[in-house]
Amino acid sequence: MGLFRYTLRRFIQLVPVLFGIVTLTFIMMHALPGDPVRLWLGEEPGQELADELIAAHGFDRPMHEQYLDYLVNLVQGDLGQSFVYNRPVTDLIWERMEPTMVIMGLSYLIALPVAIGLGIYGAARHNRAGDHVSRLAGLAGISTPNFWLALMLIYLLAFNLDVLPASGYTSPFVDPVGAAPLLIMPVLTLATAQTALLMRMTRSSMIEEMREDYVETARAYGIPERKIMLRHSFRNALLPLVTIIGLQVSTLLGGSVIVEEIFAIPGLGRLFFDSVIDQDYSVAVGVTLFFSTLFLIGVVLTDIAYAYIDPRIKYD
Amino acid sequence: MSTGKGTPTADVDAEFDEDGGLVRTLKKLRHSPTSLVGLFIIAALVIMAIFSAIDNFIFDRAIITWLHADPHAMDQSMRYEEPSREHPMGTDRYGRDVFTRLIYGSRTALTIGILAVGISFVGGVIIGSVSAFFGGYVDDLLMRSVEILYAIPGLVLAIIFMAIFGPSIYNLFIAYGIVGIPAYARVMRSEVLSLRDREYVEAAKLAGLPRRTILFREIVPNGIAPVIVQATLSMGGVIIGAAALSFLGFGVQPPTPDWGRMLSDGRTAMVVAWWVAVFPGIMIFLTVMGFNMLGDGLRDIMDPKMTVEPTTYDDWTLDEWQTEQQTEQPDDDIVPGSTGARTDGAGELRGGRS
Amino acid sequence: MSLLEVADLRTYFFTPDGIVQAVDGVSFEVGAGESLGIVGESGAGKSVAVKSLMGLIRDPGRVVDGSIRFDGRELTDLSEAELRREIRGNEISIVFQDAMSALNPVFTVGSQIQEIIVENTDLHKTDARERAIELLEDVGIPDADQRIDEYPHQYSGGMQQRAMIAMALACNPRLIIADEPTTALDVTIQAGILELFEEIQEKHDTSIVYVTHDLGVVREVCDRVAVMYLGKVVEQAPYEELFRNPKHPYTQSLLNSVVTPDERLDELNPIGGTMPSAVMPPSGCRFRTRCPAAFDDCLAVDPPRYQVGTDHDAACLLYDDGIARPEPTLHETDDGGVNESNI
Ligand code: SF4
Repeated sequence: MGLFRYTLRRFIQLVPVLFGIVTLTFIMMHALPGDPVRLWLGEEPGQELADELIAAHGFDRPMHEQYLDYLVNLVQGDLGQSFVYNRPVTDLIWERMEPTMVIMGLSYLIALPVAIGLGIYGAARHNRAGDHVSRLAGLAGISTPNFWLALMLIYLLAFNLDVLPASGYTSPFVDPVGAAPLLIMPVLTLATAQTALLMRMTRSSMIEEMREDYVETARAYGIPERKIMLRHSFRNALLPLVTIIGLQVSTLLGGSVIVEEIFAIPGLGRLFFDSVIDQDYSVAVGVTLFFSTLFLIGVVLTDIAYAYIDPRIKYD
Repeated sequence: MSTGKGTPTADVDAEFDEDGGLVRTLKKLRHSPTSLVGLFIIAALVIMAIFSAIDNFIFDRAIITWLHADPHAMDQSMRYEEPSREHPMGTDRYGRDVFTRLIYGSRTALTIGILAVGISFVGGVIIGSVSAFFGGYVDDLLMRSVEILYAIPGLVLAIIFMAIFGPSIYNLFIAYGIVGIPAYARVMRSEVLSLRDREYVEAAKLAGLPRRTILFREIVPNGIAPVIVQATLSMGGVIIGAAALSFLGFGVQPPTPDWGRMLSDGRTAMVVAWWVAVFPGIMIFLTVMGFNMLGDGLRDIMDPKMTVEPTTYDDWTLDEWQTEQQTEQPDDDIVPGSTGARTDGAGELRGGRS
Repeated sequence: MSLLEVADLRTYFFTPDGIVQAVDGVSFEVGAGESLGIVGESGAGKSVAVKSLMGLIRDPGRVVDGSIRFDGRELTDLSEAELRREIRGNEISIVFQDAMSALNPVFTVGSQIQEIIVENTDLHKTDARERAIELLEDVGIPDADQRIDEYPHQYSGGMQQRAMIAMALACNPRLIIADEPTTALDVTIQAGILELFEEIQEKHDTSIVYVTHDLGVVREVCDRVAVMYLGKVVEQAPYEELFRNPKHPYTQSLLNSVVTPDERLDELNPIGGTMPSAVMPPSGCRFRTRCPAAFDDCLAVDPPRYQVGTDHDAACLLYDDGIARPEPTLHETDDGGVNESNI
C-alpha cells in the first residue's frame, strides 16, 4: 500500500518536468528550419494546395492556440504525422521500439553483473595491483568512443575474421538463433562504456561503505570478511548504484542513435537519426519526447527500487 | 586531511585557503602516477594544438608542409595509400596525409572541448550557486529547468540543436556547452548549500555586503574545487560527444580536419583502408583517456573518503572526519526524489558519453 | 591469574605524515568479573589500545610489539581466522560509541544479532532468532518479539545502544569492551545504560573494560582505573585509591579541574595547552610539555612505572628515589588536593 502511494506520488511529481519537456519540444518543432508543408508536397504543387494543407494542420493559427492543440493531442497520444512515412508518429514509435529495447536490455544484462563483479573485486583489492589494473581498464572503457569501437568490431569480426554479420537486425522473439549473431556487436558496443562506468561506481561506493562503522562492528563480531563485503557493504553500496543505473537510461538512449545507425538496426535511434536527415521533424521531436519520457520513467523506477532497498526511506 | 575545504580550521581562514587548497591539491598529484600520465598526454595535445593554430593562421600551413606534408593538400594519385615512410599513417580518400591531419585535428578537438566545458562551467556555476543561495522559488524554478534539460539524452539534444542552428563548429561547442550545464549546476548547488551557513558567510552578511558579492566573492570560490574536477572529468565526454556528432555528419564540416569527421570518412573505406578509421579513433581515445586520468586523480585527492588515509588511525582524526562528513552533505535526506541525489554520480554521468 | 593481561602493547600507524605512535608501551590487567576504566583525553590512544586487543587494527596501523594474554592464550600469536572464530564475539565483544552508525542501516536489528549468533555458535537460524528475542528482552527492550524485526533507525538512541549490548552478549563473552558507551547519549539515558552494564557484570560475571573520557562513568561503574596520556598508561590504581590519592601530575590536574563529575575532560581542557602529536612525541616524559612539576630529568628519561601504593603505580620521575628532584609537594599541600566531596 505504502509503496503504491509512493509510486503514484513520484509519478505526479514528474508532471511539471514533463510539461517543461513538452514545451521545449514544441519550441523545437517551430524552431527547426524548413517548411514541413513544402517538404511534404515537394516543389511542384501550387499555392492553393499548400494553403489548404496549412489550414488543415492549423499552421496559420496563433502560436498559443497551436500550443494548446499540441498539448491536447499529446494527451490523446497523438504526436503528429510523419511527412516522410505519411503515418502517425505514435505508430512509428511503437513499431520501432522493440530493437532499441532489446539492445538496451541486453547491454544492461551484460553490464550489470560484470561491472558489479569487477567493482567489488577492485574494492576488495583497494590500492593493490588488481585494483589498479581494473581501475585503468575502467578508465579505458569510459574513454573509448562507442562509434569507433563499433567500427573496429566490424572491421575485426565481420571483415577480417568473418565470424559475424556486419549489420542488420532480426527480432530475437521471432528467430532467436538468427538474431543472436546480429546482436553481439551492437550490444557489446553499448555495454562497454556502461560496464566501465558502473564498475567505477561500484568500486568507489564499495570502498566508501567498507569504511563505515557497521563494517567494524561486523568484524568485531567475527563475521568473515567475505560476508561483510558481499552482504553488509554491498547491500549499502547498491543504493548509489541503483540511482546511476536509472540515470544511465538517458546515456543508453543517446548511444542507441549511434549504434543503430552503424549497425543498421531499425530502432528508435535510427528513426530519430533518419528523421533529422529527412527533415521529418515531427518524428524527430516525437522521438525526443518519447526518450525523455522513458528516462523519467526509468528514474521513477529507480526511486522505487531505492525505497525498496533502503528501509530508511518512508513511502509516504 | 588536506582537502583544503573541509577541515575544521578551514572556516577560519577560508579566504587564504582557496588558493592554498588548490595549490596543495595540485602538489599532491605527484603521488598519483595516473594523473601524471594524464597530464602528460594533455600537455602533448595542447602543444600539438597550439602548433597547429600558429601554423595554420600565421604561416598558412607552411611549417607542417615543410616538416612533413600539407594536411589539406589533395592528390588523387595517392588515394588510400598504405602507411609508409612517407605517410606513416597512410592517406585518405583524397590522398591527404592522415598523420598531419590528425595533428591538426587536435586543435579542433581541444577547442570544442575547452569552449563547451567553459560554457557549461560558467552556466552551471551561475545557475547552481544562485539556485542554492536564494532557495525557495528561484531554486525550484532553476532546478526544474535543469531537470528538463537533463531528461533529454545529450546526443539527441545536441543533434536537434545542430538541426535548428545548422552544422558548424561554433554551434557544436554551444550545443555541448548547454548539454553539460545540468551536471555542473548540480555540483555547484550542493557545494553552495554546504557553505551557505558557514561563519565567514554570516560574518559577511553582518558586515552588510550585498548578497551578490557574498555569493560570488565568498561562497563560490570556496566551492569551486569539485566543479573543476567535474570539468576535467566531463571534458572527455564532451570530446567524444562532439566527435560523435561529426561522425554522424552534424558537426564539423570539411575541410577542417576533425577526428570524428575523419572516422566517418574512414568508415566507408574500412575494408580497403583500415588506417583511415583506426588512427583518428586512437587519437580520440588517448585524448579522452588523458582527461579522465587527470580527473580521476584529482577527484581522489579532493575526496577525503578515497584517500589512502584510513578513518580510524586515531580517535581524534576520526572525530574530525565525521563532523566533516556531516557538514559536507547538508541536504542528504536520503529521499531519492531528485535525480541529483549524488553529486559525484552526476559527474560520472556526463563524463561517459551522451 | 587475571583474565586479560596486556604487557607493553605498541600499536603504530604508518601514515604518509609519519609514524603515529598511538599506543606506545601500554600494560594493564583485568581480572575475571572486574571492571577497568581506561580514561584520558581524546587522542590518548584509548580506543586504539582496546581495538588492538581484538585485532581490529587495520592498515596502515599495526600492533608492532607487546603481548596480549587472554585466559592464558597469547592473542598476538593467533591468526586472523583464529581470532575471528574463537575470540571475536564469543570471548571478547565490543560496544561502540555510536550505535546508530555501528549498526547496519539496511538490516533489521534482529537479523544482525541472529547473524552473529549463527556465525559464532552451533545454533540454527530459528533458534538464533529465539535467542535474539531473549537477548533484547534481557537488555530491556519492550515488545522484543515485535521490535526484533525493526530497523535500527526505528529505535531511539538509547534503544540502539541497548541493541548493541544485546549483540555483545549474544555469545556469552567473558570480556566486554565498552568504547565510550554513553558519550553519544542523552544524560538521562546514560544512567540506564550504565546500570545495564553493571547488571550484566553481576549476572554473568563478565569483565568489562570501559573506555571513556567521562569521569562520571568511571565513578559509576569501574573497579580499577588506568589513566592514559599520549599512548601511555601514566597511572593505574583501584578507583577509590586513585580518586583519593592521585600521584601522577596528569591525574592530579585532571581531578583538580573537574567541578562536577558529569563534565567531560575534552570539553574542559583542564590542563591548558594541547596534547602534542603522537607522530613526534616529546622526549623523556611525554607529559612534560604540560606538566606543572616538570624538572630537568623529565626531558631525558622516559619514566617507568613506580609502585606508589598498594596496587597503585604511576609513571612519573617524582617517585624515583634515585633521582635528585624538587619536593613533590605540588598538589598535596596546595589545597588538600582532591577530596572526596569534590568528586
Ligand atoms: S616525569 Fe616529570 S614531566 Fe613527567 S609527569 Fe613526572 S614530573 Fe611531570
